[in-house]
Amino acid sequence: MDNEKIIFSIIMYAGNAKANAYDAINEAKLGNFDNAEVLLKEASDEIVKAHNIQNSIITKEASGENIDLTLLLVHAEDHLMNAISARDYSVEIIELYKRIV
Amino acid sequence: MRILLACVAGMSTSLLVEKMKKEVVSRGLDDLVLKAEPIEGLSDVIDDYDIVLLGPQARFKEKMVAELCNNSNKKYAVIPYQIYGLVDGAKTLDLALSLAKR
Repeated sequence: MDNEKIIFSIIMYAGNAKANAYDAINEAKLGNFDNAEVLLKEASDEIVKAHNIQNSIITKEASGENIDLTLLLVHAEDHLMNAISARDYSVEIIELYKRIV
Repeated sequence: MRILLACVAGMSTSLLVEKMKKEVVSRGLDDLVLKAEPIEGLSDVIDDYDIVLLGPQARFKEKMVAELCNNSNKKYAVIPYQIYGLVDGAKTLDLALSLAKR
């Protein structure tokens, strides 16, 4: 996979994860906690996919290969970190809905 | 026709826009304006465009975009991740053109 595709794939999987996390919150809001759990799992699966791609370049760098450090790659990392936070907070928010609903 | 690509920061889609522009040139199309913008400013600029394409990473905002586009009578679509992941300018352009025909 070339650099561009690596970057776009990380952004894409991170975006899927974030969307799933938000969808999970919306399901919990409606009281559909089983659906929320499924979506949370999907969010985590997407994060794993993004991580796997990220790992491929981290491994390259660790083995001494030069990685093109572009602003877009940093941006992709932003997306991933943001998605991980969204997933983590959504777990907590869903727990709160469980107590309220 | 004016096509807007919107994503969270308008950053990765601007690269996709560059690819689409190359495709526009190679197909000899004219009268096409392509731009990438962050989704936050969409409501301010939506009147300047005919078609809105949403980056899949901004799908969590789709409801807001759908409402905005419906209210402004604009067509929109979420770019499928298969196209986005490959940074495929040709297929993204096809998507915009097919949306315009609908």
